[in-house]
Amino acid sequence: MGFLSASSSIVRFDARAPRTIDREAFCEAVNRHAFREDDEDGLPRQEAFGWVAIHDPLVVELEPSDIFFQQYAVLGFRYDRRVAPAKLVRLETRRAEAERKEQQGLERLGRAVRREIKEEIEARLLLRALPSPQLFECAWDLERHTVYFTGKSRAPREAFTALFRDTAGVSPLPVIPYLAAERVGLSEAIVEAVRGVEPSVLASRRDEEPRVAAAAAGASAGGAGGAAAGAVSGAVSEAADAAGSDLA
Amino acid sequence: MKEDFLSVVESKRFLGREFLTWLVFRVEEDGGKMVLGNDVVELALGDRVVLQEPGEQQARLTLFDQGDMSPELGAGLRRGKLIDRARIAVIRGERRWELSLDGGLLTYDSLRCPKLGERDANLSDDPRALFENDLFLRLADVEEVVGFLDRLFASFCQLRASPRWAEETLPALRTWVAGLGS
Repeated sequence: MGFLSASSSIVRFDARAPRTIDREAFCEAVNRHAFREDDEDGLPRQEAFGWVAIHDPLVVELEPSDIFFQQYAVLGFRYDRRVAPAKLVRLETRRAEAERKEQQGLERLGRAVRREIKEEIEARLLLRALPSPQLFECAWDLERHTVYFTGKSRAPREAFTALFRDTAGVSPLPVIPYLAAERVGLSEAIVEAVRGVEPSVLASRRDEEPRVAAAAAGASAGGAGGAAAGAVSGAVSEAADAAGSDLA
Repeated sequence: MKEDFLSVVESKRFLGREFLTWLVFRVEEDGGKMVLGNDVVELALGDRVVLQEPGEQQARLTLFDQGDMSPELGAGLRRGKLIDRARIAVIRGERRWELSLDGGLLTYDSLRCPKLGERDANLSDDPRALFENDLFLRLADVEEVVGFLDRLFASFCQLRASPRWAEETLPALRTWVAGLGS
């Protein structure tokens, strides 16, 4: 998913660029953190990620001209993940446990041994698992100190922010509303005032009463069986959702 | 630092949700035409809205409909939820962007930009130059729509920090919420 896709999800980060950027040194840092499928021992990693050229994801030796144009530094980001199929892990673990019990004449295996067997099986199967690659793109606007990244999923985004920090020496911070307030040309007084506000209650008190009564009667505040939800013909899902799942 | 940041993310999510709710209120009540300095931008609500309740176990309500979502939207807002995500269209002259704006985090999902303009005929023999040309135009599109939304967010922040919020906007929002779908 990239900027030129028909549709893309974009996360914006704040990343202060140095006043002057040494393009050669930055390019060298990018190449040090370029995508490598295998680890130092030549073995496949469960999670592998790194920079690739934005114009061709197979190019992993980049020149400054691959990265810099206009006021941007642009890079492709490849994120591969290998997963051993869970069912296969279970079956092979059962087989290995049975063999171990027979070899050692045991009726049962201890928890630590079973865990060790499972880890061995997972590691063995991982060597044979094919990676599932995902391609993203990032554009660092060096004048506006803004990074646009075309991915929102948690694991690649976290890998991207860590890699960006290691490469550029700058920690990219997601521009959440709290941070955005100081980026949109407001005075410091307004920024501080907005940051200090408490949530407003939009439901009038009259609307609040049945809600409180429903809660007291044991109805779930968000449950589809609640009185208000019963009137919601267009509601397709209503689910408890952990708050930290997005940017945590 | 990371934990501090995460706690800010969580505790201040309501700010972006209030912004998005206020934006939808303006679209519904004022017809969506926004004057931003010398620019006039039109906003339209799309077919998908997600409402979310504050708190640890956040109850979420997803609405999607081709028609009038007012009754469902009103029911959700009256139960204390705020708009967390909404599909919106941003129209400026003949240019149109569509996106799902995540108010809680200010991210731009499923962003569709206007079609790229005419290509420079001189570039047709150079795929790399063509790619860079298209990428530059697309980044300009992204920055343009993000810029509009930033300016709207700035307007919201100015209002939210002023006494006018409590005196005028909040009562108007409550009246709108109370009347949605009735």
